[in-house]
Amino acid sequence: MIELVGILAAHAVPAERTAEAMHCGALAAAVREVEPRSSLCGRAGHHAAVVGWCRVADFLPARAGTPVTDDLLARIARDSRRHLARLAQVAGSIEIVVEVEGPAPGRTEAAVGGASYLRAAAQHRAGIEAGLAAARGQVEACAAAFGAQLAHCPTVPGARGREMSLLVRRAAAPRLATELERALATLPAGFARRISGPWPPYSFASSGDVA
Amino acid sequence: MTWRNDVDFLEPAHLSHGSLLELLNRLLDRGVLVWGDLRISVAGVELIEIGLKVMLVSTETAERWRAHSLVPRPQRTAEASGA
Repeated sequence: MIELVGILAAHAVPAERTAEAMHCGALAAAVREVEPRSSLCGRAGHHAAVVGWCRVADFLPARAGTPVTDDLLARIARDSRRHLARLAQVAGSIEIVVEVEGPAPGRTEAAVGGASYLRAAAQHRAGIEAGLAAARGQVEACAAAFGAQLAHCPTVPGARGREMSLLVRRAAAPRLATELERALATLPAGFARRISGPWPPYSFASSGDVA
Repeated sequence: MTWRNDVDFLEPAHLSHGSLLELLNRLLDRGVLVWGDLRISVAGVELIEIGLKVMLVSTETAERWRAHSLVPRPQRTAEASGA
């Protein structure tokens, strides 16, 4: 199966990698051959291919496992203006991912019954929601201070964790990561946080065929 | 923090603890024991909690284990010869 790795400007394809790209008007679709069945190795291979392209050009990563078809190539060519605008947006930037997770309900809460249990569960849930909202506010403040863009991440009712992605200029990324770590250290006890990166701009590529 | 200042992009090889490939290798060769709790809740209220103990292993490794377990133990062999 031929899988879409991502999209880049046609003129940005290096001469030595033309065999790995298919032209779609002003854009080129970076492709690779993969085993038909998806696997953990396949996804790791996809990520490695994305990183390889990000090292040589501004690049919009695709979702792992997107098969290349004539229809897909036609759609990429048709939406070239939108993709080129996205490419300009991610140029010179990387993605930082912030994951925040609230504490699991304690076993003591499960041990009590009836109204006490419901009250404890509601209090625990409210604490989680407050902590996640505080984390969101801190990440937004950091993003504003560093001129970073925060990807849309809808609130999932009842969820114990939240993932937020930021697009930031590469030069400012280390300082932003440090600042995020410092800001999120003030979250209530029991909240776990993880800041990872630098990632290719997976969350800022687009919706649809591209990641 | 899994942030790395010394690399241009994070790759699976940089995640030394429990990377995908390490997990896959372990899963296929040695097996993995999944041990946890499954909680079913409605509107944020937990109703059911199920203890979970699952062993995942490749068929080849499982077959190896099965063959190993079928080998007669020394004392059994001795008992058999004595009888």
